[in-house]
Amino acid sequence: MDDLGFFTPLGINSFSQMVGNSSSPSDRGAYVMHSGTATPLGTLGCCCPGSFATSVNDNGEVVGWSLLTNCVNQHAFSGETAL
Amino acid sequence: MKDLGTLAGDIDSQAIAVNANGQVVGLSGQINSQSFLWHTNAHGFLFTLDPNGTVISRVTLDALPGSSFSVPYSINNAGQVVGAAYVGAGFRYYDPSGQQSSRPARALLWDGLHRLHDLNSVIPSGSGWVLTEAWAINNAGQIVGTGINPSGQTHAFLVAPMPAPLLSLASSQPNGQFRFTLLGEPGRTYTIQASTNLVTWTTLTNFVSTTGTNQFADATASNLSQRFYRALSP
Repeated sequence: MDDLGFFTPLGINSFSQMVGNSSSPSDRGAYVMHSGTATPLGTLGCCCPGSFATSVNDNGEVVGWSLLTNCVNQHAFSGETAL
Repeated sequence: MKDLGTLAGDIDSQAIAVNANGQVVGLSGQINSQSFLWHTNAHGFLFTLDPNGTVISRVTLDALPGSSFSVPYSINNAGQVVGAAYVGAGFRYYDPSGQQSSRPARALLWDGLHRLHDLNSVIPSGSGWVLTEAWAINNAGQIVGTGINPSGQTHAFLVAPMPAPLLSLASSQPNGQFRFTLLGEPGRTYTIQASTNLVTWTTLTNFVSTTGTNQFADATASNLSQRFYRALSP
């Protein structure tokens, strides 16, 4: 049983790469977590934290959604993580 | 886009996840079209699609006794499903990350035979954790989710309580045999089953794996255009 801290993991691929969202009150950003290291995925906005990663496949492709620069609307995003 | 329909007698459904074999999990029941809240008669489903995308099987996933909603969030290629059971009226999917739900919850696992387990009862006892929501499961049987750790903090967890046996090194032999290797755990009992449609399964063999690695050959495969195999362990 591993404790991954303040994180809401919504997806995991066959290489144990996990994606999700920080559950820390000061950071609502999307992250990839692998082997104990959390890497931020960034945002489509600028100044309002709010991006969610929901799934990662075995090619390392990540999808989710993010607030835009107007801090109101959200768009789907795709990204990738190194395998 | 194809309409997958609902469980019998329902009017609304939402698909939540799909695996590489065309098995889809989601919710079926009745939804409030204004608030998108499910009425408490919603049920988790597992639909199996054929290669054309037609639903050939509709299974109602058992709900945890006492829960209002038992929701499947993820399915792996072995057909293992994870999710969460909630108590209280009204459930809204579409934002599972929607910051910690304040309602009581319990993490769930439906195994490859659709049998329901409270995830808390299949992890080693004495862990000190209360697992509340299981968000995802990969093809190795690793599960990630949210729970309350022994210090009382709401944290993410990673656990592999029921490692899925792996079928690997598959090959067709010149004589028409289909051969593959089971990668499991030494000392465990395994059943190998086969199916042409992922719905009706026939047992081919039962054995105790002494080494954890066993080669298997299916001599009857040459008569079939496609056949699925699975390994079960009690």
